[in-house]
Amino acid sequence: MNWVWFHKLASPPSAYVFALRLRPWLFWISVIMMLWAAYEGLFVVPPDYQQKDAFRIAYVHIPAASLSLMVYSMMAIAAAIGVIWRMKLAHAVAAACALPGAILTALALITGSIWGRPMWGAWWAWDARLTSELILFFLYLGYMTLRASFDDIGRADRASAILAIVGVVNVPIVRYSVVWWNSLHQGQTLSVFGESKMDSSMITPLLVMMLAFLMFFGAALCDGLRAEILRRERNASWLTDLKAK
Amino acid sequence: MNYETLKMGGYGAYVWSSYALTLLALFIMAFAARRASGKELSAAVRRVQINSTNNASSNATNGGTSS
Repeated sequence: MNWVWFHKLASPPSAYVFALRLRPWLFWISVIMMLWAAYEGLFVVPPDYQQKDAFRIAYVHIPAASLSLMVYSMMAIAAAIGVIWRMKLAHAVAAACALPGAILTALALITGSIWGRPMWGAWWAWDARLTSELILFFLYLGYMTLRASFDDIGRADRASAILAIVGVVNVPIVRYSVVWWNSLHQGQTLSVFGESKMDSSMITPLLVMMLAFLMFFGAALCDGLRAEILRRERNASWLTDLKAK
Repeated sequence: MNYETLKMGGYGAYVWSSYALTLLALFIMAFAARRASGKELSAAVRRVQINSTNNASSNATNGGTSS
């Protein structure tokens, strides 16, 4: 297999230009998809037979919650690649994942709390799913704080990578908490291999919204990655060429 | 769109506040990343300009001494 494209993309100048070109596509396509999915979720799909209209919160809560786990996994994988193969760009990707991941986790917690109030009669419960998601939020905050506490980027990369790798143990706990423990939180709604518990008319806007969130995160990641690359390549000669372009 | 649609069967406050917070979170996510890259880019451009000015002046100095 020819890996030249991968090595080329892993070089900071190529990754910078790639992120610069990809970002507007991801951003605008995700905005259009989000508008469509939000319209469908709010006005077109029928109310749930048990939760009535409150279930419409699912169209923002589920994408945020699932992406919060996906982003952390991505951050940990990138950090591991950075530590094992000493690839600087991998550390930059991990660092760029942290803030969007923390925002998505906070959003999942807040929208979950708002959804929980009419359904459970409480804003918060020390339930396995909610608590493990809160721990995930603290892991993101810890990662960012640890990075910020070092002046040297190399040391910040290594220390924060260890935290990201250790913290990944929380991802399956969040994911399977509703299966492993008796939980107030509802069970798995969507299933890749099994049968989903939602009607097909409700699933399509949800899947579109999830894809839109993923692309929106991709756009934010492109910007974050560019910032990280510029921070690391302060005195690189390719910046002169970039300015000339 | 009528009032009943906005009320969402009594769950309107919960549904609309969730969507409004999502909009805010997405805006913050996009804005923070954009601002960070913009800030780093302007700092990089400044550094490149300073370096090229320094190089030009040192070349002129070297040229002056050699002649």
